[in-house]
Amino acid sequence: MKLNKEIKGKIDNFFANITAEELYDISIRKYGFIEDNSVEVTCERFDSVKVEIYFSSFDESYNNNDDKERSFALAA
Amino acid sequence: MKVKIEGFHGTSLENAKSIILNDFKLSRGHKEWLGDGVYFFIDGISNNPSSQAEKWSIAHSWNKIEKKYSYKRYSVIKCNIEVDNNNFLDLTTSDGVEVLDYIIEHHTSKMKEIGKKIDYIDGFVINFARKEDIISIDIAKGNFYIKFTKERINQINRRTPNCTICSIYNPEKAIISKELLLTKEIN
Repeated sequence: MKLNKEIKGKIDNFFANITAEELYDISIRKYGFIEDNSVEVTCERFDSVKVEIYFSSFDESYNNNDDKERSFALAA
Repeated sequence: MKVKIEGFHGTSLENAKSIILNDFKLSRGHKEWLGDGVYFFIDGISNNPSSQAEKWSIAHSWNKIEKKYSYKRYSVIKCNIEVDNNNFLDLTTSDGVEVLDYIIEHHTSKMKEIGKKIDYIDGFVINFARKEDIISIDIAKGNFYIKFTKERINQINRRTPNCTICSIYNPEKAIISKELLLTKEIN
């Protein structure tokens, strides 16, 4: 399969005839697409970062991200 | 133009018997691979796909909760597959990737209209494209990293693909012949 004129036409046609709301609804509800709710950082520059309290024990604190990765591995 | 593929499917002996007598049942929920379909190991990254199908049927038998094999006797089925090139989404080539990219580009810009962002997963996009009849896909092919027993025990998570697999969405149409290649028992 190649992205030729015919295939492009079919894809263009589908998206031209569906509303964004309808597409969002079927994508999430029917096909299990996952919405990306991450926050977009538009400001790329920080003048200063304020650290109020630092505990060295935080270094070994429970890490949610690590745990999430482990869960994926166990679920595979 | 027709594309011919030799595919190897690993499963329990019981399932294999049913497949030979009846037909394949589509696996669902393979969101991270190529969507809902019947999966085969094929030539590509590895030149020994039958061995990968064997390793897969062993790994697949292991029940992590009960800590035992759910079946001891496993089989590999060899199939001759045929597909029209126009209905063959080959994601190991730039041609195939371009098609998927084009669909995602359209989807993304439509979502932007309502301020939404989607975390795109290939398997979901393929299911969506097929089932909404956007394009006709009979078979999709891709390279993936798949964990067999050794990789699972040692928790080896790599990004480099080790397998080429294909997913068939209409097995009755695409599978020309099938045979039970081997039956063995897990030690």
